Amino acid sequence: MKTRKKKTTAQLKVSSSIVPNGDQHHSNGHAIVEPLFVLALPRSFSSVVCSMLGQHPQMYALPETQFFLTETVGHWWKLASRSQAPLTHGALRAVAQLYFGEQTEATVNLARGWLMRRSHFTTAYLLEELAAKLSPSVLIDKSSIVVYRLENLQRIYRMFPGARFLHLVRHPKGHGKSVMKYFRERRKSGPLPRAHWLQQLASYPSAAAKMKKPQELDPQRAWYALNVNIQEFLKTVPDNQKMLIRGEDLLSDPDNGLKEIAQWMGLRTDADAIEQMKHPERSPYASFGPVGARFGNDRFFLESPELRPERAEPQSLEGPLSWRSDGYGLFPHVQQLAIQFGYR
Amino acid sequence: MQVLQRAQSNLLVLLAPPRSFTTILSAMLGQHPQMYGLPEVHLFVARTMEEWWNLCSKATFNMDHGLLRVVAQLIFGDQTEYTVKQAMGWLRRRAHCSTAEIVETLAQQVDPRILVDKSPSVVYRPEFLRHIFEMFPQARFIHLLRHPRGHGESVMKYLRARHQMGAVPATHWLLQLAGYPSLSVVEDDVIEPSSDLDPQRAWYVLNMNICNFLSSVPAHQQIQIRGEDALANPDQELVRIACWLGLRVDEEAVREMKHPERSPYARYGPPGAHFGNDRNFLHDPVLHSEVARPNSLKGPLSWRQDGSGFLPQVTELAEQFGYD
Repeated sequence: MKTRKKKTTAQLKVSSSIVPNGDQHHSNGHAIVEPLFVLALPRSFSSVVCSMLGQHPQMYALPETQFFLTETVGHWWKLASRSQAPLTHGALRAVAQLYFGEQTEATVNLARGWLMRRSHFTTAYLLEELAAKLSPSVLIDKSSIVVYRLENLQRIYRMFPGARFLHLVRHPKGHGKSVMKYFRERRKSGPLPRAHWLQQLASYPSAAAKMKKPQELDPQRAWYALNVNIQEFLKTVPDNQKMLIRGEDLLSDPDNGLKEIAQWMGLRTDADAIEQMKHPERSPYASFGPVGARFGNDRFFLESPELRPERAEPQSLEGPLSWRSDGYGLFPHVQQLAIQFGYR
Repeated sequence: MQVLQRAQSNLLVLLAPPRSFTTILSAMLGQHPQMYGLPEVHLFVARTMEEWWNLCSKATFNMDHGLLRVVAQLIFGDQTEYTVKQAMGWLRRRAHCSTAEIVETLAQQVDPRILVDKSPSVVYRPEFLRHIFEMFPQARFIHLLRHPRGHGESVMKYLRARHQMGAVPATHWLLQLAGYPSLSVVEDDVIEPSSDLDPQRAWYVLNMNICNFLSSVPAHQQIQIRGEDALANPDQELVRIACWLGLRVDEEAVREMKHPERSPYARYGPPGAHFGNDRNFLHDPVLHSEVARPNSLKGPLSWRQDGSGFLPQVTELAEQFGYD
């Protein structure tokens, strides 16, 4: 697997050969540019990073569609109707924007009908339709809750075996702090249901495993388990189709980090392309959406979508964790995995 | 709209039991400048792509290879390991589509050429044949014939070659073909092959399936061709087919058709989709007229120990087809 600091020329040569060119486009639009999937845990800079990538003149980032949670659009609707989280907002916003020209209450309604009418589609086919609509731009999809289950990740690859995967990681300490901060904020608006993704993330695996007595909140368990899910899955993906990137590096040194990703994708790396990527706030999904589709991206990002390098404050794998009352630090296996990712 | 309309009528389906020169004739027709020959895509044995994928996972041969190669070639522009992978995703994403929709898409891709499909698996069940006509009421059909003796010898030769590679499972299509149990249509999914191997029974049943089906198809949408005639005298027979289809019959068009080896499916495919056509053809895809040597309906059958010849029904049907 390619890591950001270990670039090899061979990999870049191979990868540029699989970037679709004009020859792979057919007049009827049946061949699409293979998408880029960003795999990351919730609260791992994925909204800002995807929005940055999506500002590249040859890429387009969707908000969180959560399509790969299910096999068909019908099942996706069913899941959304039972979910505590606004699962459909990202897809509604994307369809409103791409097929009805803007995001308003009226176009979100039209988007809902459009998606309902396609209930019999596989979710992957629907994503292909969006990719075809965006062609020749590369579609970027990131739906952080798909990483909770290996089968969701396998579904992506089964459906898009030619796609690329970017494993976006965040320091476990920074991640944990961010989860707990978000958790506190969210609690201000009322108690969190057990099934809420944030509750699951903070108290993993107790909520996920339906344990009667919740464990002490400690997001490092989710950080470890979900990153291992991604790692396990990526073992099945060829090297030239995957890349590991530390979110902190990208935020603190965007020029180099973004250029390297663009190069890996075989896309433009000129100053203008890089400059555009430094403006995630220009994404059509970087602000709150209209009634009926308010979210679709991280709430904090929607409130303040600019690139803020200071968010990537340095962290250490040593020392006690601010969210634990017992003064414990990171578990040894968490530290070990973080070291594998290049953290200290 | 015109493309869509043409895609519905621009389908030519070759119907024949396996080992009846379908691969070579399909590849020959496919070289006509106004036609496009597919490898074996087996689409009409299922209603939806999800069902098709399920059948592929249970098949005793690489049922998906032909379609993967076609999608790699037509949609992704080439047949490589990577485009085959892309083709797999493309087809999996269409699990909700009807198989006929995929045929329609392929027909649109090759428009204005006529798409030539030959998947011998469809002749095993009358419902598969009806499925084609139901989905493509304007399709045209070639009933491709082979002498029952030449057919039987070819089946037994292929079976012996297959045996050399290891034990052949009872569900293998070749064993089912050689050990067809009776002269009645078998409606079960999997037939129990008889230990008495005699391919004439399958020859009869499968050809009768085709005849019965074609009795419901308008006369102008069907033609009967003896494979031996097409191979021994390609100039005359290929022109006859092209005329019937209303296509060019000039020298260049006929010359092209005599080069099945130029088909993009006339060689082994890349990893992940190695086959998709008869192995013998992939090994040697050139037109060999001598393969179509004359046969007789009289006399004992080389594959039977008891010295008996053809069953009366088989002889009668073969005579109807113009064989002696």
